[in-house]
Amino acid sequence: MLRSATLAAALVGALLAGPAAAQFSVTPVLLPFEGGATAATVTVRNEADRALSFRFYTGDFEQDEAGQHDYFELGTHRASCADRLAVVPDGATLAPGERRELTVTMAPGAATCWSGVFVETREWDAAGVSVGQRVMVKAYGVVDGAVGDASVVAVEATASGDTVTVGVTVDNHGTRPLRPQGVVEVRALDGSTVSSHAVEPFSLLPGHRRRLSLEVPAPATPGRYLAVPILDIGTDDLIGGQAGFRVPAPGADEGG
Amino acid sequence: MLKSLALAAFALVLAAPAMAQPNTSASVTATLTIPTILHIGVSSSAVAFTGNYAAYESGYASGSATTTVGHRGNVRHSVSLASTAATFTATNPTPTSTTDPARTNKPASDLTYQVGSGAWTGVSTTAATVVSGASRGSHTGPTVGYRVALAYAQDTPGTYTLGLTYTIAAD
Repeated sequence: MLRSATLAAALVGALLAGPAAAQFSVTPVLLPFEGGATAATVTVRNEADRALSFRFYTGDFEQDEAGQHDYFELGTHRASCADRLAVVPDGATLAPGERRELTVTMAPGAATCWSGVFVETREWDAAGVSVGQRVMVKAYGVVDGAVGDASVVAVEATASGDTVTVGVTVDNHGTRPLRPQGVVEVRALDGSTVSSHAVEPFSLLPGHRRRLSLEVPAPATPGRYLAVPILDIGTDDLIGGQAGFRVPAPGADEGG
Repeated sequence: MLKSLALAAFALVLAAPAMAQPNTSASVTATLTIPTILHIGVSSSAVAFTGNYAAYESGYASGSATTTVGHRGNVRHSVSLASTAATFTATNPTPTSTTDPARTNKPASDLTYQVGSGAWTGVSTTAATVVSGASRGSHTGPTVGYRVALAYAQDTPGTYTLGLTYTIAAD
């Protein structure tokens, strides 16, 4: 009997922990307002099999060199879109599969700003420890004449075993939020390309730095090589850099 | 360049029948705009803790459920975890004790979480990354477990409420 009760409890636990209790999607999640645009539509869809209660609100975010986000009340940081960014409605209850369009507005301003529109659901009145979830839509108010200017300020490459770890540091010197993307090429010293690896788009806020750490397969043949990141920042110019590394012969000491 | 070549081939196929009927040709332009999209799903909307003798003796109560974080998107993204307040909200039991009211300053960091088999870490209002730089695609996990620290001398009877929030954001 005890075994049955224990098993039943375990089953209940398993059932509770099984399927997603709440899930939803949001699109788009990047909203640049530029060229006179002052309004955009964001669509929320309840992907759960039960009704979900949502709240929609604005707030601030920052992103550090490693890419980690921090979240704050609206108006907290120096480039906040406070007083410019708004979202309506402020909440909704959506049936399973139901969509709701949100209107996001960005008033013109004197400087480029960034903040977030948050779509959050949870058991709002629950006692105890509740687990909520939210999606942040990044909203950028980009002023006319904002300058896109960035550079690769450091590249490091180290081979270890079958992998080369490539560190790339990129600074945004301009006033435009950027989404660099591109490749890291592994080249032989004669300039020929041994392999090429995509760098997915990533956010780079004005006046900010990002440090990427990418792992790419090491060349099969021992010798000296170059790691060459080449990034498109959305301007006429590509940016890049290079760092040398050595793939040691089997049994030899590893070195840079 | 590949996109241009593919479109050119597509246009050639469309144009082929028109060669036999030179006066009825038409061109079709297909345009597809794909916006950025993110999806998040968590496996538990609440976690219960029981403050029994065993929990006090061990110094913590284990959560009734773990949270598996599902996340999808067509852009690189991250997921973080934070509490909604720096302290638990305390509600006195009925009848309320005049000498031992519910503790009003139980810190959020008494609630600890563990990502996979990693270290137990106290939650705070500062977002802590639980998924870093996930590539575009569909991902299930990590699984996050919870504990609440309990001490006889501090944790008086009552109902303690705290919100946890998982936030997904595009990189």
